[in-house]
Amino acid sequence: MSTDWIGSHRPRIDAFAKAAGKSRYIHDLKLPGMLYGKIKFSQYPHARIKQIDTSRAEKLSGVKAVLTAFNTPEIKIGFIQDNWVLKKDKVRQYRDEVAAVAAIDPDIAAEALELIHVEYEELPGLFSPAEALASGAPLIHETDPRGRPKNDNLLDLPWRFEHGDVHRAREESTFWVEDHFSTKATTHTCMGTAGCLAEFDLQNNLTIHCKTQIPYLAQKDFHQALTKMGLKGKNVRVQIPELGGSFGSGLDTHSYEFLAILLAHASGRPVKIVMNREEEFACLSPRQPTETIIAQGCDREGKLTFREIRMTLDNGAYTSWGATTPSVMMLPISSLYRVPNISYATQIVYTNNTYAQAMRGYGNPQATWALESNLDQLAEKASMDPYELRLRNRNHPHETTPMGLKITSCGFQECLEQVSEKLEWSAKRGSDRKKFRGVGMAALFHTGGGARVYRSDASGVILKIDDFGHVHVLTGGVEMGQGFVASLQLVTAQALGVSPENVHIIFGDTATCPWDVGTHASRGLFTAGNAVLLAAAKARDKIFQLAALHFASRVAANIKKKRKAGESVSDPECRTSYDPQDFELKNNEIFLREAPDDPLLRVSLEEILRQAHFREQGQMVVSEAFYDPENEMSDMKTGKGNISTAYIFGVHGLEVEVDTETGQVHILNYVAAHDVGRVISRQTLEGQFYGGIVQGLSYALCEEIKTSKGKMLNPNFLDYKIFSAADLDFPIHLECIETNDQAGPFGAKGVGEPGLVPVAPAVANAVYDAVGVRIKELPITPEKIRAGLKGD
Amino acid sequence: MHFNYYRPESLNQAFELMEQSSGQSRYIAGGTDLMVQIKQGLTRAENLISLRQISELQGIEEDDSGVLIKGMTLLRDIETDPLVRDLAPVLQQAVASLANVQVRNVATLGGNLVNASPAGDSIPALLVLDSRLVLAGPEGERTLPLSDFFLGPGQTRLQPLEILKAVKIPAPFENSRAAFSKIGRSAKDLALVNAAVLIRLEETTCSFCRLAAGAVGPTPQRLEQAEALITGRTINTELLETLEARVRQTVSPISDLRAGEAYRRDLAGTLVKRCIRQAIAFKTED
Amino acid sequence: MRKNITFTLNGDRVSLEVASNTMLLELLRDHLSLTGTKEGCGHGECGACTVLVDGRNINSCLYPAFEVEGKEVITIEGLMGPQNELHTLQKSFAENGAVQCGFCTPGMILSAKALLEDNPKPDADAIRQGLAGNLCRCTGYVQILDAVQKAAQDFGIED
Repeated sequence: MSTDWIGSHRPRIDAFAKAAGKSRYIHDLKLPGMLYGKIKFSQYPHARIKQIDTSRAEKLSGVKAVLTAFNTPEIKIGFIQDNWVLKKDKVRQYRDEVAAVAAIDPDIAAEALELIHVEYEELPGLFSPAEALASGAPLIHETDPRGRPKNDNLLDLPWRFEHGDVHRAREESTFWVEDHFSTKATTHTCMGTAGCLAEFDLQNNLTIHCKTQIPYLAQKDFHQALTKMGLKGKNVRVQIPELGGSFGSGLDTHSYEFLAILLAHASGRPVKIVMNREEEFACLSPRQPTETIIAQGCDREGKLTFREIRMTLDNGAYTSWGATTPSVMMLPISSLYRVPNISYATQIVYTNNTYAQAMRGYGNPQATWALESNLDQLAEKASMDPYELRLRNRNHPHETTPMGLKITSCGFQECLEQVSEKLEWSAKRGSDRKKFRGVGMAALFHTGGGARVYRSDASGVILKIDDFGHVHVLTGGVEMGQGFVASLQLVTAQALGVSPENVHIIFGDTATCPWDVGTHASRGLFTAGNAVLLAAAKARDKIFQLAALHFASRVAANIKKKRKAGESVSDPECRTSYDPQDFELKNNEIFLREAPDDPLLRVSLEEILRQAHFREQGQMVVSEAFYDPENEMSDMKTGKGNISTAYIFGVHGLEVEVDTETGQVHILNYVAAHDVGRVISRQTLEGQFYGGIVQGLSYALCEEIKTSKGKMLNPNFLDYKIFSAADLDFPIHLECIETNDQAGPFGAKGVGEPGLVPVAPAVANAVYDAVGVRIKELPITPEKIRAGLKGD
Repeated sequence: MHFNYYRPESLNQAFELMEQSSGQSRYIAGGTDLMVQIKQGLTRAENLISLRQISELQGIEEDDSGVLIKGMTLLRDIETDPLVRDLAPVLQQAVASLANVQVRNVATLGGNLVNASPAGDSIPALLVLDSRLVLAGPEGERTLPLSDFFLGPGQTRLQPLEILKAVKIPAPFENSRAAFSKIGRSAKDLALVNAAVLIRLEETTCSFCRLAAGAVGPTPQRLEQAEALITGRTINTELLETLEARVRQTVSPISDLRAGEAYRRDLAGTLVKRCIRQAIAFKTED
Repeated sequence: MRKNITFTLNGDRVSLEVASNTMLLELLRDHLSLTGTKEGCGHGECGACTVLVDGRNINSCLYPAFEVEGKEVITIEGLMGPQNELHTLQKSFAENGAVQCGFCTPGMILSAKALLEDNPKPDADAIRQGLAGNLCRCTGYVQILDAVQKAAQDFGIED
């Protein structure tokens, strides 16, 4: 039996129950006496609430609670607290919550909503940053969160990054290109819609089952809400069912969660709120839309000289983490390729559109869209091959970037070379290429070693070994489908010396699992894995101390047993006392380092633990660790700081054929090369990349939230297109480059988000190479390509 | 969403139920569209009269003039039926492009027609096959050319009690060939535009043709001007380019969230041209 | 309007009273506690609620419960053997990395089963077409297509 679990093809343990239909999602939870909550959303994008009449709803039989801002404590949410769980004075977006009900069945709850009458006075709406910034535009928020009057619709979060002298560099550049790129709002479309179930015990302690990636930060938010509800100091327990996908949608707490809490408290019964698909589309926060003006330049040799970016983000009506994505956009903007002069400035604008959040990549896809599209424009201007330009400016191992990011392991060059080779880049760009075919590539730079976006970047782990050699790893990290559990299981097995089937990962319960800042920023395995390494080392120390006490007696007892069974066994060279450092543990067996192959001088882990535990003055093996990586928060003023302990690189390339009559893009071949540090669970890793790439292709080619005056027009899969299996009629080749990162668990770096990041610009670059049409606004639809070909 | 649900076993029972029911009543076939509208509250119905149990509405038969497909025949069964493969392969091509297996396992041909979507995929194919519809009502049956059936989006010539009983597809005449084509926003989508052609060639001359397209006007339609343009003429690249331009001029699509009017025009011309190429396996230099 | 309906569910005869506006999905999940069938959209657009009715894969969210009278319904729970032995397809999905969040998995597996019953040796395109009605947001489908291809090699052994 192999003891090397790192890089194994072992199937994910959670996959079996899921394939059997036995896993439990929020939709499947049902408690005795449970009520069904439903939310009444605004009918206007911007209006004053004049009056809410709930009297008819309250009289409906089966309705147990009806809430509005007028009969509940004011609870503010969002990281700058500019949003309310229930709206009182104004609604600022279509999805604004004006009332909520709990009833004994979902139909009655829906009927009750119909009976609630809200009187509005409609206000002029602002549906783009340009409209919201126009002089004389009405104010969406009359005051800032601290109550000071506001004069404009700008959010007070002016992210900036300056390095060198961009103005001078532009003047001195031999070539430079400036252009405008934009992205539209897109949404996570988790197959399992959002929802939660809240219940109070008789002491008013709260348990909430919710679909979150941040159980402990959510716990903090819920605590604050309880305080507002007069329940200060009560316990909050967050439990996480199987998630059904998340992709960043669970990075913040949501009004519906607080409404379930309020309804449960008001009714004295468990209350479940589950979004239907239309609500999931229209009432959760999308990836934020961006408008980017970018210029990049290079010298005669193709060395990049500067990069200047001005970006406008549509924040929507309130503020969630979408407004902080520029802090992550800064990573590729400052550090993808060697660029000596950089200027980046953003403005984030309130509008009456749905408020934006974060989605896989956290701003990086939007930044990379502009960067890598514009880089191909620069290559053309400089008459250089885009691959050569990238190779010339690539990052190198062990260099510090203008943002102060300390790159350690770096497989950028290998990624570029792999993509070029597997795609047959030079042949495909050569003169005997086929008509309307083209190749394009794009690179990515992202955090791969945690990300200090909060003051803490820590992950806690408790490791508990029972008397039968089974290891329970209690982690604060969250499995949302990405394969966290499978990967952590292998890391634990390898770090401890036990077999994976004896390792059980327990997550998603703030009452039993230790603190973790949240599963985001591709940090899950990196941070929890490192925490496991620390805890496993402590556990092994303890195990070996116990072995020193009990090894010899167990060896003797086992020999005796064998003899009794009629085996002839000669006495091994067994000492009477051992030191802890004499032992090794592998494959669930403790043996002597000096005699690793002796069949008699070995005792199973469970035997030692039982011997040590079940006796007078016995001892148990439980260890814990709280790993916080050696990274820094970036400085709000300068933008500088080594935010991650490792960085991930990757390059995607593809060949397309464009149908010039219809504008359709046919992908012929897709190649993705990633520096992953080290492969832990191969199936999981490949799944993250395939999944990221296809999500990225869907983002690149067809996804878009369409709106009219702030209202979503396509809140369904009929008109919000995501890729289906039928779209996958081309091969995807993955290349994993193992650079063995010094900080990663067994050398691994984070891989959750990167697969999606460079897809869109790679596609746009390939389309341009094929037919000479540069699409600057996502998605790259056939209609836009066709219009481009016609010169419209 | 409250409704009564009835499952009559004969046409007469269905008519009676429809006549006697009080309040809003609807016949329901596979329900892949209607049930969604009801769930969304876009259509109200107090009584749904399911046609699935009516054996008179089931089956595919060869009749004296061609093939007869009963109204409640599942799209999935049409897709795999050997008779349809022989006599109307273009219909199979169209039906197979519609949605996905789950939908085709419950959606029916009659439902696809009565739904009267401008983009219904079976319709252009049936139009070029010169199909006729058999409509059954309490007073008896009548037949109607499919091309006369549609009045506008969601609107047909069906009388309140009438049920689409069958679609009669004449056998193809000799040397005719047909093709269907559609374009969506991804591999599986409603048609932004769809088109079908049936053409008979003598040597390289088009002696007869029917051309039809969907999602280019309020109803799927025959493209008569374009038919006139190529009938009696030699099919060559130049003529096809002219045809493409003519189709683009003559259709009147709308802009909606799925596609713009100009793009739909372009697609209509291109798809009709491509259908002809596909049908006659026409090779051009490009 | 309510009515008694009788049908076969995962091999067992089931008889119960349901309302006329009950969909098969609701019948399975809420009345019979078979929560392996998922609701992803409720509009027949995502395939998470796929079950087999008389061997055909259908979206149970749009399928009136009254229509299963006398029919045979198979859900994901019905694919397993008496001691929870996984079906070839379930095993192949789990072993080949075809499962991530798992929400689309039961429906996807039932569509794959319907496909393989029809076409035991499907080529890549037939598999893509056969699964096109089941959306997945996690996997990018690559390992799913692979799992079905591999299962096709062993299919029929248990059925």
